[in-house]
Amino acid sequence: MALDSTDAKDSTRDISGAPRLDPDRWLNGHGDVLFRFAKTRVGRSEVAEDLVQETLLAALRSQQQFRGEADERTWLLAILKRKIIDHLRLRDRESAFPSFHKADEWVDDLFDQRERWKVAPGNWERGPGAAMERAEFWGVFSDCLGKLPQRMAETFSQREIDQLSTEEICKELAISPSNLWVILYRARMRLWKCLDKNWFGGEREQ
Amino acid sequence: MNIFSCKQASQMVSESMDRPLRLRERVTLRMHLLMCSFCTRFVRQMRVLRRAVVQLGQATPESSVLPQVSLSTEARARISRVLSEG
Repeated sequence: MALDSTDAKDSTRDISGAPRLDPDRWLNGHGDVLFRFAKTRVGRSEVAEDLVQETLLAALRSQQQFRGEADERTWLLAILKRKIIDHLRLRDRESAFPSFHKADEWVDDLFDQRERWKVAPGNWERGPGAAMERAEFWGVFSDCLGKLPQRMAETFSQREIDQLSTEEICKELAISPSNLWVILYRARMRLWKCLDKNWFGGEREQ
Repeated sequence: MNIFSCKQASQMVSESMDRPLRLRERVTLRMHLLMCSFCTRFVRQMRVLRRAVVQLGQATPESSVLPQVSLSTEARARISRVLSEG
């Protein structure tokens, strides 16, 4: 992000008592919130950490543009959201999507030769409604999202968390709708199984 | 008439979240579900999954719905160093 060309004017404003922004204070005050937000979008902790770093760095470089109209956190979150979009765009240009033509052994392994469930879906006795009111559930959920292959997690988040239409995602990734459906199916199966195992896991009726 | 394997049914359930199923697919899926309690259970669980994700998407950044994870000490130190170098 380019430096504001009105440095002189802004530094006068600083002297005149406008709040001087302190990056370490941002890190302590908003770092975790930014990290959590990023993590639900990109899955992997390392990627989310990098995004927080880039966000704070961009904020530092453009702090003259922060005029205290929005609150600091809202401003930082707006920068983070742009950084996440940039990250997804760049990634799309740099690497082709892993093949969806190949069979997904992980999913195949849920079924027997006649394509019936190898292990019957559990009955989720722990009650989904109550689960969502518990912080631990969201921790497990986030871990499960983090275990998806990177591109799969990001595509899933765009579709389900940010609710983009399949058309928008196909355009952005330059893939056909049927390929997107395959990716989303594989992502849902992994998440479902992960939640089943790590949260809802109960008795198994065969 | 083919009424889908469980695997095909699970694919259809997922696709129904991304596109309107064709009439024949819908009917076939419904027939499969009538006969298969495991897939019926699976459908309910897919809906739970979607509800959870939507809730996550609508959560404010401060909400406890977001995983209460924190930046690791190393990441924090690294970011702080990078920031001080500007």
